[in-house]
Amino acid sequence: MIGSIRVAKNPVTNSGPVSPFTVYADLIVENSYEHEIRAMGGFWRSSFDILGTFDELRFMMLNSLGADVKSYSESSALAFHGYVHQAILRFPGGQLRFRLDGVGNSVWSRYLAAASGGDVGSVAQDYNAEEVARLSTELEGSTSTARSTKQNDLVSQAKYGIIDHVLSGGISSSGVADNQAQNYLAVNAFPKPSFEFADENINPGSTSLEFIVYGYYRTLDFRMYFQTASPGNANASDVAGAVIADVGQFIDSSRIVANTLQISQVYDTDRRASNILFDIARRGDASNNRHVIGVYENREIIYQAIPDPATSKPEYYRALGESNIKKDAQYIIPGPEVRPGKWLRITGLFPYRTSDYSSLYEDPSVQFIEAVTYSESNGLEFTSSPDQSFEMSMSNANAQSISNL
Amino acid sequence: MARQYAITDGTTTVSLINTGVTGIMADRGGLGPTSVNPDVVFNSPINADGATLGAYRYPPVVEEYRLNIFGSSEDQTALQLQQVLELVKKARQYNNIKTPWQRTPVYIISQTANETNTRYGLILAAIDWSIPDLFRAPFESDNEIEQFRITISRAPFWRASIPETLPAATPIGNAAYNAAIIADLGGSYDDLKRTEAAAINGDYGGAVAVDGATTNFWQFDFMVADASFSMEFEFDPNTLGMNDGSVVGLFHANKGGGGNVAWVYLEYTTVGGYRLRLLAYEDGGGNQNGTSDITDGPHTIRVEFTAATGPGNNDGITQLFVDDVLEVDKSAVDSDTLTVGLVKIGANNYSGTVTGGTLYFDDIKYADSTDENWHFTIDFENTSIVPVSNYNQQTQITHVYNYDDSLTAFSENIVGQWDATLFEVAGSTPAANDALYIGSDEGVFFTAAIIAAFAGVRNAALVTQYWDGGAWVTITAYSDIVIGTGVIGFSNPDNDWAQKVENGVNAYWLRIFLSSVTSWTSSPILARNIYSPQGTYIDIDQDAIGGDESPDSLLLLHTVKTTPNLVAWVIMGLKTRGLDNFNSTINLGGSNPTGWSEVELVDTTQVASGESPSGQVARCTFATDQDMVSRMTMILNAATIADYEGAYRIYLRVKQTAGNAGDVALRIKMISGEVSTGNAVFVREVNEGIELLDMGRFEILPQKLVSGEVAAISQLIDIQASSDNGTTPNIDIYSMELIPVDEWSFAARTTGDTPIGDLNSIQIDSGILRRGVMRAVSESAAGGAGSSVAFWDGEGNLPSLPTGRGGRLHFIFGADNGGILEAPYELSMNAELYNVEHWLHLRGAA
Repeated sequence: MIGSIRVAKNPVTNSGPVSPFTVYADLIVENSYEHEIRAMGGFWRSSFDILGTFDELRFMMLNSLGADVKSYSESSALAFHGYVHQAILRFPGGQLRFRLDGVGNSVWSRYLAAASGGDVGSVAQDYNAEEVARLSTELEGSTSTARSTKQNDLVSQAKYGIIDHVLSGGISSSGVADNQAQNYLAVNAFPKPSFEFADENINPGSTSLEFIVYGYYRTLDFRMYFQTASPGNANASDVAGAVIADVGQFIDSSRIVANTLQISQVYDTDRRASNILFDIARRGDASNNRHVIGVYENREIIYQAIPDPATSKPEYYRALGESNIKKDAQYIIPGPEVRPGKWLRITGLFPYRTSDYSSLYEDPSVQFIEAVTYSESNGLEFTSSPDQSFEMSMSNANAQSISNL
Repeated sequence: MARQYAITDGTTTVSLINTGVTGIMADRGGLGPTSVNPDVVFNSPINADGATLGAYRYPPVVEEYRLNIFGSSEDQTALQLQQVLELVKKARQYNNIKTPWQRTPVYIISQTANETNTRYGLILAAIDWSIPDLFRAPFESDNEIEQFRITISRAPFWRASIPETLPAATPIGNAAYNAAIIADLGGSYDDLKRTEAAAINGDYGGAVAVDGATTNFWQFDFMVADASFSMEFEFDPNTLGMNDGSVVGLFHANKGGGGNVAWVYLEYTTVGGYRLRLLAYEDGGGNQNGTSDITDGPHTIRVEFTAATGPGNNDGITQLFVDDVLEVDKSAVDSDTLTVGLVKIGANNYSGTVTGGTLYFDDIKYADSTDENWHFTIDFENTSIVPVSNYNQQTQITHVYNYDDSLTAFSENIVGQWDATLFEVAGSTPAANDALYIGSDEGVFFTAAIIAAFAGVRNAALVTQYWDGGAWVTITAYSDIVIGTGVIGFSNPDNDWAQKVENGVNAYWLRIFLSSVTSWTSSPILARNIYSPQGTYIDIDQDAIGGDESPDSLLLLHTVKTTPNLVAWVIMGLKTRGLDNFNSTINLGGSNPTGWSEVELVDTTQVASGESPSGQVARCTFATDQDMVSRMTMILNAATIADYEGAYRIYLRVKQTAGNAGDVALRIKMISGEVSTGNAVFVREVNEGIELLDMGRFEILPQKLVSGEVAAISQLIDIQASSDNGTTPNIDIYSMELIPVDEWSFAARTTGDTPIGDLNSIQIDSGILRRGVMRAVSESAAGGAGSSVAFWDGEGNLPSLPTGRGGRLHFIFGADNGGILEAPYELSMNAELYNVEHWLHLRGAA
């Protein structure tokens, strides 16, 4: 069970409540708390509802985005650490939603320069810059599109951190592209609450405020990473470190295990840092050891190999028919303190095993925990896989043929 | 006992059982505890600090009252009605953050005719009411409102005190709190206990385990050639197993460096039972002796000694009093060369076959002449404020002197005196360059508590200093030292504290030095002797917390102290079982309680350290192996393991020198039949203070012992370490902390830049004043619990102490070094605990 949740100002931007406050278990709406932690990403998402008067909660909501949130188990262990990404105020009559999605305070446009005297083609579109850029790179080469001037709202950046947003400028001129970016910035630099009237789907009986909290890894979604000054390849761990150093505004410290796998260090498309780091991790190392990356306690980003399946024993055990996780098959770990990125053996699944397997990959009763979801209503749920070596080998195959991602 | 049933805000009180001609007579039909609309329960204020009203912890009780209101006139009846409505309006406002002007709670006072104690119930609001037709009888005929119905929601549980007021503090203690006033402990660390079973007076006494072979005793060695003394104690043989003719030495006074002065033996004969024998020694080594039969029950024993007045006078007096009756009188003793330098009480030696048992002692008193008042009384009892230390150490302060610079004279050793006057020597008026010397010839110490009955009046500048081998070094400059409930703290961070001879005593000294004196009106007078607090926990008696359900609790941790480091973190955990042998702090340098031993492994040795409570640390150099391998094994033996059964968050105190931050990682590997390995935790500091690493959650005996089962295996705790990047720094491992987490645990820390400074305290409240308050309060404010100076962060559940269970609350105190948790040994806090008990229905005499 969750014991307390601390909501305080963001340690980087200072956004958040006027005064920090702690909500203890009895003021959290029963069964509302949950969190998800991923092997790839670390602390991923948490949510919980608190109760109060409309005025109090409305005030709280308006000051909540970006706030630093730590939840603790009953035994005072850190269960989750992240920032408020969205807040939903529910009350009889409807709900107010306030979120960082869509916010852009560092905006530019990618466009294909119009030929002299030619027509300016498509209108500006909001699009998945990453997908298009990747496609564009593969089909047309990296230099086929230009970038407009980056338009910044420094006030918003100071409050929420730098949040990049890329528009598709179509066939355009630099001036038009600049205008596109400026126009987007003008209306999206700050979050705006959206209101939904009560209907048969939304009709809360009482007033509550839901916080949706993202782990700090997801602040790497805010940023696009570029690096063209140093060409060629470098150690994967060095490239990861460079990405974090450049755009990890909310990352406090890092623990990056050396990985000499050579990968391209050039990034010249509009790719999110989070995805770049995922891809680096997915490539594993030269010996095909799988790696993971995520942000955990104290906003520390950790990049390391998973426990070696050839030499490790499962750390977690779960008996068939039981919901508890036991560490080293010995004692129960409180639900909020269970972590992904570990090997889990399901005991009783194949009870007549006569010999050990040479690798945990081969053991049918062992899974690698990709994600843990803890909720006060449903307890622990796992997303697991026996292995992601296929994905890793595919990633490395890509690394051989595509050097500019 | 007068019946009471009234609503009040402390100023206006309306009785609901008024039997007078006028007034209100309740025709109450209580509906009992029922669940109510969550809007009522939870539509509660969340203050900016997250605090809430204690009322909202559980669903409230809803009761309907049917009131008959009698008046001398219609107007007077109306007035009474309005008073009721006004009070319930105030109750509603008190519980609403939008009406902050109403700061006084409204509550019900309840007590039946013969119920000894009063109950209090906080009113939340009036949910509903109805009133009969007022244009008819009996209102218009008799000025009576008949059957005025009002439905009131009140806080769950009756409370033992008025809401928003602090009750009397719950008595707490710890074994070391009492033991620490004694200069030393002889024998085994764990065989001298403070137990309720041993109580002869009060709730606690001292228990001495006797096995016929091991000597266990309290040792008093602060006397300096006292030519006269008186010592008294309560004693109970407690049916100690002794064969015919066997002897146990209970009391022994000698000259300090040897040479007997007096013995008291407990003897046993099959025919006569127990008896005491006094041996009054003479200059030549012989003795005069006599006996007194005693029963197998409690007795008051007193030994008085006065040396002979001169050679050949043979007028020395050594006497034994039993229950205030002079039983053995030796008043012509040749003892002119005898003085007392040391006294032992307990089981000092044996003769014959003593089969074993436990002796009980209580109320140990000492005076350094037969005609003085007692300098101290060790009563083993609980108290309201207990100093809690941050280390496990078995040495003590052994010498305390006042020093007069103009006289170049020291006082006598006042370490054993509860009533000493500080800074004065022979009545002199303290002046600049005078000092108070506090020292130990047993080793370094980290704290010295100066608890004064009178702080004195002066205008002077005082500094605390230590001797670094070449000069007195000011630890930190203070305009004044807190002499009251203050604690001096010093962690010897440069590891250069050196011994020095002062007044002929080679010891580690701290001194409080008067650097300047403008005026000196009166000197401080102690309320108890100066000692080094020991014990990382507080004891809560089994009967200290009553009620039907867990109480609201408020923990006050005072930092009335002077130390370079300030408390920024507090970690605590409750344990109510396995109290006989459990200790939360295990030194890796040794000097540990029963059951623990240490084995150094790869590249690890014991190294002397003046920063460690045991005088040593385990140092790993990584000289031959930098991989993650076991560096040390801590072994908890099978005989003791049962007391450690449970779940713990394990912390390690470490310090890295050389190398880079992040090079060194440590890991815990638990081996108890099965193996459980924790995560690697990286050391974040280099060449800084003693860092506290959270190694994770572990369990000892996770399978749990079934009733009557005896553990057959030991618990091995391997401490593993690695050094990455090819570096070979030193990692010093000081201690391992086991914070229990399977009953109740909590962590509190500063939210920012507000560690607890001098004269402040941390207040952790689960509902006595405000539920959820985590704040630093200034004690300089007059009265009560002080006033807020900062908010703190709470991690985990608020205090939830079980009723009817004795237990111990174990602590670690930490400092903040740029966001990194350190745990300097000098940190210490005075703990104070308040509980408001909860009753579902009647309270009775509780």
